[in-house]
This record gives sequence, C-alpha cells and structure tokens, in this order.
Amino acid sequence: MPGDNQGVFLSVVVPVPPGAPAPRALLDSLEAQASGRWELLVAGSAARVDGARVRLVDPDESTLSGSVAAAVRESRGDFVTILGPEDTVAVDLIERMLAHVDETPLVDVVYTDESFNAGGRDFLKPDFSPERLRSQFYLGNVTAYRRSLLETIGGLRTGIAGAELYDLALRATRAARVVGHIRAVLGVSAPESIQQLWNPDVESTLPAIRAVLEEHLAATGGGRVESVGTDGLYRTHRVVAGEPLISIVIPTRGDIASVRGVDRCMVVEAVRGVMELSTYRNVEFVVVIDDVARQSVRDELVEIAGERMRFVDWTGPFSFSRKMNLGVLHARGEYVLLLNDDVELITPDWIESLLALAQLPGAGMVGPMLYFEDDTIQHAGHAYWRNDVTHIGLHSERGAAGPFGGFFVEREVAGDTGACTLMSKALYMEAGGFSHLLPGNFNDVDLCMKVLTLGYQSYWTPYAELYHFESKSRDPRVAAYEIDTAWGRWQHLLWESPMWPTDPHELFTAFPTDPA
Amino acid sequence: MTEASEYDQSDLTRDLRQLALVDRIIGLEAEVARLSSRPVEPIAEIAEIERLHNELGAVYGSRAWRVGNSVLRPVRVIRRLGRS
Repeated sequence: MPGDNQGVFLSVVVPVPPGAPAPRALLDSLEAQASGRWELLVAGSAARVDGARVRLVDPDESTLSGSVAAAVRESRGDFVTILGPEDTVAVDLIERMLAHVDETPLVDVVYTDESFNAGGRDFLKPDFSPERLRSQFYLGNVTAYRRSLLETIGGLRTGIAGAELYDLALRATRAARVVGHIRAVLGVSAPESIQQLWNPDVESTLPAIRAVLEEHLAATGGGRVESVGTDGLYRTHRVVAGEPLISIVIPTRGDIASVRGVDRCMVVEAVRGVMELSTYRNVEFVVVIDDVARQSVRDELVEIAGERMRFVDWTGPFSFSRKMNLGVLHARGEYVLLLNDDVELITPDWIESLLALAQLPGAGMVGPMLYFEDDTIQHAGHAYWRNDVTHIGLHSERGAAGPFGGFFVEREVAGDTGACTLMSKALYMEAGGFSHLLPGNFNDVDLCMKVLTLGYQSYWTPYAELYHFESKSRDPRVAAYEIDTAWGRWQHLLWESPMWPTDPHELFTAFPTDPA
Repeated sequence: MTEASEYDQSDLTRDLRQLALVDRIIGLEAEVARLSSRPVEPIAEIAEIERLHNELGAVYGSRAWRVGNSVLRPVRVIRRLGRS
C-alpha cells in the first residue's frame, strides 16, 4: 500500500541528472504493475515527477552518485534496484520477483534478463556466474538487492566515479547468501549504461573500474587485472597457487595426418609444441600409445620430452574412455590435463590459465578455446540445450565476440570438451573417470554431467587457445547405444542451459564487433 | 624416459574396477533421477526405477565396491573438507 512502510517490496531508485528527462515511461511501467508494493525514488533532480508512490531525494546533492546513495539509504522496500530514467520494466516484474523470493527465501540479490530499446537482441543472462562477473558487469540494470544486505555492506559507495554500480554488484554478490536469476526479460534498458548518466566519459571511468576489480580479486582468492576496456570487457586473471605437477594424458595411435598441407605425426608435434612454447614447466606426459604405433614415434617423443615422457601401452580394441582412464591412473600429477593428440598450442601460458581456474574452490573441469585449422571456432565451452549437446561457438569466426562478449570472457560452463580439459586427478577419480559404456562418443559430456551433479562448477577460458585439427566434416558415427546410455542418464538435465541460455548453434562473425 | 610399468598390476586392476563402479553408481542414480523427474511415472517406469535401485544396492553390496571405496574414500573426504 502507498505510504505503508511494511508494504513496500521494491524500491526503484532512478538517477536523473539536471536537464535529463523525467522518468515518465519508467513510472508508467511501474504503475502498470499488478502489485502496488513499490516506490520510486528520483535521485538528483529537481524535475517534478508526480505519483503517489514517488519521492524526490536530495535534489541538491552535489553529485549524482551521492544522490543515489542517499536514495538507497532512504528506501523502504525489502529490495532496492537502481534503474536508468529511460528504462522500463515488464508489467509482471514485481509479481515475478515476489514469487522468486517466496521460492528462494535466502536470496539477497536477484537479476533478470533484459532487452535494449535500441532494437538490439535480448540479453538472456546466465545463472549467477561470479567468474564471469569479474570479467563483465553482466548482471545489468534490473538487479535488485535486499535492503538489509545493502545496509550490511554500507550501501552504494561514492568516490569511484563511473564504477559505483559495478562495485555494488561485486560487493553485494560476495556477501549474498544466494544470488538469484529470473530467466525472463523483465526490463528494457537504454543502450548506454546508467553509469554514463553521471560519467559519460567512459574512458575516464576505467581507473575506478580497475580499482574495484583489484579489490574484488583480492577479496576472492587473488588475481590480477590485465586490462579494462571501454567495451565493458575486463581481462582479469586468477593466479596459480604453487606449481603443482600437471600430468598431460594423451591417448594416441601415433598417426600421421596432413595439417596445412604438410604431413605430420600428430602426437609428436603436439608434444613438441607444448615443450617449446608452454611457459608452465612442471609437467609430465603420460602417452597411452597403441601397439600399432611405430617405434620411431616413441623415439621422437623421448627425444623431445626426455624424462618427462612416460608411456602406457595399449593393446585393446578402440576405447577412448578406457585409454584415458588407464593414463590417468598412471598420472603422478595432482592435476590431469586430458589432451587429444591432434592439437597445436597457441598461447604459451595456457596451462596457467586453465590451472588458475581449476584451483578455485569447488572447481570442476576447465577447458580452452579451440580452433579448427581454418581459424573458425571449434569449442568455447559445452552447452546442453533443448536435448542437444554441442560446442558453444562452433564454426563462428575466430575473433568473434559472441553474444554480449561471451567468447571473450572467462565464465562458468556446463562442461568442456574431452579434447582438452584440465581437472584435479582426485575429482576425476571421484567422478569415476570416463565411462567405458561410452567408448567413442559423449564420454566427455557424460563426465561433465557427473562432475556437475557431484556439485562442482566447470569453467572455460578464452586465454588458453589451441588448434584442434579434428576434421570439421568428421563423421561422428554415433551408435544408438551411446545415445541410449548418455541420454538415459542425463536427458532430464539437457533441456535448459543455465550457463549459456541462448542458442549455442548461432554463428558469429569477427567484424563488426558484436554488441557487448 | 620412464616406462610407466611400475604400477602394480593388481592395484591397477582394482583401481580400474573402482572407476567403473563409481561410474556405474553415478549413472544408475542419474537414470533414477531422470525417470523420477517426470510428472507422472507410468507403472513401467516405476518398475524400472525399482530395478535400478536393486542394481544400485547390488553394486554397493559388492566386495569389489567395498574394497575400492576404502581406497578412494579418504580422497573424497579431503576434497570435501577443502571445499567447506
């Protein structure tokens, strides 16, 4: 009820700088709500906005962020959101938020998907992804914070011009019991960020963004900020703790294939690339090698890797899963890097990038960006969507940003390809390794799902890049029993894709830059 | 270069079997979860769930599982403590 402090569920704070239009459309969209449990606090403007549930807060405050901070302090709702004056919300926003809080009583921060009134695509966001959040303020505008949480963390901080909202999101999500996501477009936002209202010069905000990111990384296990861009993408890295032994497990037949028109022994060149380029040195190679392989292959591998090279003989019929399991059991490392033999390293610090994420608490598998020989993307994480299992980014151009910069940021994923993934050996054992029921196909999907259901979170990083020379026209030769086995286990979890909620088959080009 | 042959064959056999058993248990539990996730379970599916439960019980009751699990359990406990 208007004026009833107990009745206000959502306080909407809208910063309106001098000269800016009054937030009429936003007010209209609030007045259209079925629920009357809202209030609108207009911060930093002397402009009159009439309405029974409208309040003007500190119109004389010297800075806009100061006005917003004051409005947040004066809010009376259970939750508080900060929207732009040209934003609008869906008519069922408050009903949906009320239902969400009812279902998830411990939720302290809740955000929704959103659209952009410039005619752009809807931004269907992933479920809460803290690693993505340090790379990109993906929560966006329609994000509501429990007021008691805001009081606990000291509300909106000022003095960090242009980074106030990102800072609020980082601090609030660190302190939140639960961060919820309503999978529906419940807001329409202006193309420019709210931050630009009080600091339109984006370039000048970057030092403040760097500062809040450095503080966030320090508070969440450590890391470094490499660069912050005006495109809203922040290249931040977790850091490796110690120098644990990594066992690179490679099953191979020692085959020769043509790459860029030149025949090469795939496993020899893969190992050579790692030895010559990789900056992480505490590795061993566990090569599970078929008895059909030529002796010269073994000789070359020993010549390249010396004492780091260990062989495990394989004499049985083809089974990628059994070969990997055998190799991992022989691994001495704390971590295992499962690697196909038909790869070529691009980024020298690939292991550091993978390992830093694999060392996060509760980490599952970590995968890299893989490219086909023709410089199109083969893998930017797995997505299990509408009963299909596929690679995110498949066949998009190298250099494409993907939807909202998704190909450029480290992020949480449902899983990673078995062609190259790093995980702790203990987790591999806990998950039962690759299933021998799936010797050729879907064994990686199955392992990812096992890791997921055990409660571990997998990640993907764009900062580890390799070529994967798997033929784009490869005939997967999927057997019916493989589908029966994999879908028999996981079909109920393959419909929604919480970490990549858009069509993973969508193709992206490198230029022009996709909206971020 | 080292030939990775120092792994005791009986330990290797035990650990491979243990991996397969863990996989089987997780797989059976996943199948039960899939069948149980349907709004209304037909009689045939209820029977299938019962069959899967029986199979799970057989795996848990097997000597191979008990022996292998005694080897792996400390690893799991340490990992879970590390996450808490």
